[in-house]
Amino acid sequence: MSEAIYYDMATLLIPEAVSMLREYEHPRKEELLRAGDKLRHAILSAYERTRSTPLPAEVARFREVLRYGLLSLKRVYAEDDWRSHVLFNELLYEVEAVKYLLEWSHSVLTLPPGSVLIDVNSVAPLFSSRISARTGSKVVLLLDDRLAGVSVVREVVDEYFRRYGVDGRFLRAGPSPSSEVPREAADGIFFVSLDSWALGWDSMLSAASALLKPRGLLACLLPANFREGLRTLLDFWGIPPYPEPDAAAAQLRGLRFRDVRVNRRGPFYAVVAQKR
Amino acid sequence: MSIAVRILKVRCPACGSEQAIQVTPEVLREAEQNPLGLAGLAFPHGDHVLVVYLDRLGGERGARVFKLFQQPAARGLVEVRVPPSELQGLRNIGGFWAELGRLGVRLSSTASTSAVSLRARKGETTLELELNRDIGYQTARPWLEMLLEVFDTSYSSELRDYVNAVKALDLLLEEKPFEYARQVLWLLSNASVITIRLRMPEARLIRELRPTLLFERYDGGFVLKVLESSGSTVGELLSGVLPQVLFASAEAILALHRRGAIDLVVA
Repeated sequence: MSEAIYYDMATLLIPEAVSMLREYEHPRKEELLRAGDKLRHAILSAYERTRSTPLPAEVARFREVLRYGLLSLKRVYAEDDWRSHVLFNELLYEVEAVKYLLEWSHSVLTLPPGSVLIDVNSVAPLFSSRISARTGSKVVLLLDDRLAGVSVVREVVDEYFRRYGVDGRFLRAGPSPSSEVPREAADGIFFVSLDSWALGWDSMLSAASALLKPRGLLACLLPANFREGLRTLLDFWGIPPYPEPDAAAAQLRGLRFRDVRVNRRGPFYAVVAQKR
Repeated sequence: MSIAVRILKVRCPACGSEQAIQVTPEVLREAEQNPLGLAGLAFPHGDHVLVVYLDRLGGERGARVFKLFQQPAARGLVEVRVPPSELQGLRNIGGFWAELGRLGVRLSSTASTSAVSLRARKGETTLELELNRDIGYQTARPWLEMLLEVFDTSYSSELRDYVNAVKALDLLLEEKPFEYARQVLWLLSNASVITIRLRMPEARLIRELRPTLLFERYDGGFVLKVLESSGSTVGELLSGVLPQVLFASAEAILALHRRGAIDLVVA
């Protein structure tokens, strides 16, 4: 199956996103309305390409989950209801491409028992909880101020830790994840959530370089939004474009990371690397 | 004295009298802090109490009438005994008694031979726990106070709800307090007055996509049952549930509420 259909689906969701955007106050409303407007031709072309193509089940699920994501954005901004944001994050983990890449990352990460893991901005810390349940690692969840202030987010984090038996705690982080944790204290750092993507690739790299111990592991699940369609759609969550997988791997090697492994599936890719 | 943000008028379903309700900042704050985002305001009307529930924006979210077990004029407490079979299988709690002043009831189990007991009082409620073993004052005290606070703000007149909350506490005594523990106890002690209302598309999406946590770490069968139970009370869903899984089932209901798949509304 070609990946192009995912981008067409993302493109076709933009008119819905724009139409919903008119019903609530988004901090970057005007900018997003203009961006949606500019894509008129791309939307028409995506429509032409897909209208007679049967939609594979996993693409249909991807579309359904992102469509719910747009509703969750409205609920957050219009009603200050963060429950749907939590659910959106959990549903995203059930999209086949994401599920496959997280399973793959899980299988290639080797961590000694008692490791300290940092999971950044995960409102549903499934990945770190499962790794911790397997290895007995301690988890430090770094949440930015906006998320840490939401009671339902703190409850869900607590729920994951309790249900998976994780020795975990959460820390409120300032604008940069590296400001609250001692340098070179972590055996692993994970950027595998929608809210971690909002940090951007450069911030991820600098946090990983600062916080990982020598030979510590970095695991990222990233959106392949270097391509249009997904790029504008994810901009509704303030997610900047990420580099192509090869460029991301080359950058990591240049930053003294080794054993860089990349896996791509649909509109996402996963990167695992070890700090020298 | 607080200035009312606004005044609501509600007609009592029992006696038909009109009740004016001052929505004050304190009321809104109480709703903000309540596990389900509700504040219950009680108004004694002779032989019954009208309870009006408001949400954190001051909107009315339902009213209920509770019959008093005894006329206020003759206000002793009606003694209700909990059969010993109800507390069978509990590991930490050997017995308890609770004076629920608002309902005019003293609920008590058969006296146990426990050497350790803890008592606390808040508002119109007193609670004493008799413990089978010394689990340490520092460990037990926060849980006792949490349950006391929950009992004091509960409006259920179904005494089984209170007994179920005590059963859940038996398990909690072995844990450290956690973020939503109070919600679990509050849900159990109000189970018969809280109704499940499904929210779409969340309920459908959970049924179809089965998020990992909900189906890997909770009883998936129970999760699906809740998602097919619009209109049932929490008490109905929990009836027949073994005491050992009562707590986990209440947690599963709250997990669905936390994801917006259900609303919990006062019946």
